[in-house]
Amino acid sequence: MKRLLLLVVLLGCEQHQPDESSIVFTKVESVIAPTVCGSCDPTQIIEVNGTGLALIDFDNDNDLDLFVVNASNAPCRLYENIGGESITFIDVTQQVGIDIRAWANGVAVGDVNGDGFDDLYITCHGQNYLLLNHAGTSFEDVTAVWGVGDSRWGTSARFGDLDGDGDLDLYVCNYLEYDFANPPPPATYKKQTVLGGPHGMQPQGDTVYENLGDGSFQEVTQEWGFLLEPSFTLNAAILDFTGDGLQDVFVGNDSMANHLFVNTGETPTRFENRGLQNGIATNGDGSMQATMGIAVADVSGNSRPDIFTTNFSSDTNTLHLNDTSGFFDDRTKRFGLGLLSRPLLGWTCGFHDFDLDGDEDLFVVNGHVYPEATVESMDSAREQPVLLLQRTGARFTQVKQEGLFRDRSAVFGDLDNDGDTDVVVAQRNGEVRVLRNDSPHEHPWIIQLQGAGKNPRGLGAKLLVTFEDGTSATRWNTDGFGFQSSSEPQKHLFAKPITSVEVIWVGGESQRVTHFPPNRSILIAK
Amino acid sequence: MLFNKRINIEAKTLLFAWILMIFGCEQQQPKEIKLDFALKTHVQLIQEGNTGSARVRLRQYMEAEGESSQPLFLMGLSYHHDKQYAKAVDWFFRAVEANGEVYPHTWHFLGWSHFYLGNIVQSKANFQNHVAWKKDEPDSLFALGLIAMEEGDLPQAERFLHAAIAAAVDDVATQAKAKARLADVLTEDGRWDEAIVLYKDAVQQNPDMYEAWHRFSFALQRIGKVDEASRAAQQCELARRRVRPDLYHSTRFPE
Repeated sequence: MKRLLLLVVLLGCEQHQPDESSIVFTKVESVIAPTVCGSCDPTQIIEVNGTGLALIDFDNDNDLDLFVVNASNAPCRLYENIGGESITFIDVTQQVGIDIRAWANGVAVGDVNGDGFDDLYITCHGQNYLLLNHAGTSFEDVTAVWGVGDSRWGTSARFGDLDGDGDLDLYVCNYLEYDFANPPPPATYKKQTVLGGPHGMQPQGDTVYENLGDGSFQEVTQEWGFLLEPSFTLNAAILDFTGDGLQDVFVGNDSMANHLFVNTGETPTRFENRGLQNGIATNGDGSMQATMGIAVADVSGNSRPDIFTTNFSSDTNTLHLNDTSGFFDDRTKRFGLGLLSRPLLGWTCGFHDFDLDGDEDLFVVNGHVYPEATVESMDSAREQPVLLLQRTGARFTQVKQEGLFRDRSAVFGDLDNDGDTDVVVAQRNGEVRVLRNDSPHEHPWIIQLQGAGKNPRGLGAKLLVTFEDGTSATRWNTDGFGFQSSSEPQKHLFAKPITSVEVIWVGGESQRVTHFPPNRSILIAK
Repeated sequence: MLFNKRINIEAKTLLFAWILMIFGCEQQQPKEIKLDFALKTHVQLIQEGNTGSARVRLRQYMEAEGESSQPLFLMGLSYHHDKQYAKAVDWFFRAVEANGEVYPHTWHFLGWSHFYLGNIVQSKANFQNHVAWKKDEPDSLFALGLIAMEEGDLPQAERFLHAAIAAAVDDVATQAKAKARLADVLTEDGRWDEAIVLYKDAVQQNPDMYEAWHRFSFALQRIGKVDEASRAAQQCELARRRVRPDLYHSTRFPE
């Protein structure tokens, strides 16, 4: 009897690998230097979050360049994409006058002065930096003049038109008080002694800046209703989550309740935290999670942005579906996204149609914060695989990926302009991997948006796409909400012939396009 | 290739069904296997959270008596108690492979350990083994309901959770948690009113279920019963503080 039961277990075990996937990534060689953030084996919480990446077409030559953040006073670096199928980057940091040597963690990309050239905002432990892009030839540190030198421990930052006046405001996520001279004592996790924090440490409040449109920002955290009890904020997403045409802010807090700051539409601008009432503050069981990564897509097909978040090991990632009634329902299990994430500690994630089969897949990078982590000691290894989940009907199916990493950040974009989404992934204190998407596909239908005035990338716009076969899809023009990272909203790729596109810009103005050119590519300008 | 794979899967399914049928026929009255009385102290130590001491004594026991399924099971149980599931799985697996009669509840705990490690297929197989041994084992039926939810098979989840509720006649805690999860299944279909009845029943049976209080509160909020939702949220907070005071001070992350 015992042998028979064992046989049942073994028979069951054989079936869990998914079928061969059509998603194929190839790592290409590059000159990108490894990231730096403290020591290889971290002993303090300041070291564990690693550093971010950004895709920015800084010189407007129609390809995506790469900005790599480094801590430990190692220089942040800008790499120019010089084109080609092999995706070749060259280091132009010095050439463009960037010299940031700090404990930098994150980066946001946005055109703060609306001159058509994207600028960089770099978050640090200590003063943050705003680097103004002068026509793609040089960057200037304008932090003091523009008044955005928040000096707390910044993690992620986001640009978005929060007050609907046409320019990009700034949300800065701050984590906790950390004093290098007086670090916290060790803590205990699963009966192991590990580095201390965040519990027992003092969380910091976030900072919100209004772009005044005159070459400066003004802090409006309190005036606009963002001043709450401080929390351990790691990430944020700016988008219209409630369907009223106004930009809201979802804030991901480590081990604390998340916030959903809903834009009330009042004058003067005001936001209200409705995270608890709307069901997005915690997972469905009411547990406060870690919330490093945030990804947004219309998973349920109701044209509302659903929210996927990544969390600590021995917990699960969470998918909240955004119901049209304004509530968020935890539907992690239904889509097959729960149990498989328990051994993983997730960071940046992103929904993209990697195989151009018409639905969006999910890419999650992982890696433990504790160097002591092993499966035996913590049910989770220090180095972990990428979790690639292919959307197959109503479920996501894991596509096994080779290699184990200490990943933290990732950015998504068409680096070689071949019509599919490539990925760049950065480990904490380690290699930056350029993953070229070699999935077989036909030439896609491509939509690019061009906003107006001081939001030339059209950040926050919504696309409603109708296909020839009568189906439809919804996408949003965002920076991807990567942990401490920013992917430029350049291209929306679709697998099927398009009959019409409706663009809803921030503020509610809409625009409809019904003619798609034979070359399958269209730029819709506001 | 794909065709062959399908045949394989079907053949395995048939074999599995056959195994279940045989067990179903043979095991109307499962043979109760009691833990060796000599291991009573070890069990008590684990229950009290003195898992390290329990493991020392279990090793001494096995040095004297030799390895067998019951002390190996208790080694696994000690790690399971510590939420160190990978270690627990190793010991449980040794317990089912050991010479002599398997202590049947090993399948149950092996199922939970795999569940917490995210190994859904192995978890399911072990719970199925446990149910094959004793078809009305409520907590394994409950677990199979949870697994069906993870698999997106809501009708199957509903069947297992109903079965768990029926089987847990004398087990209020299991009945309550199965009702709360059954309510979750109903919410997936938008059956909020029916779910609320079940949530209410569940938290009345076991007021310590703070997660169920939370879901109850959210369901009430969804249908516009804001005041009742607020009261349920207060009960959630009280229950959480009562059951998990650790969440309010030193624990770094959810375990």
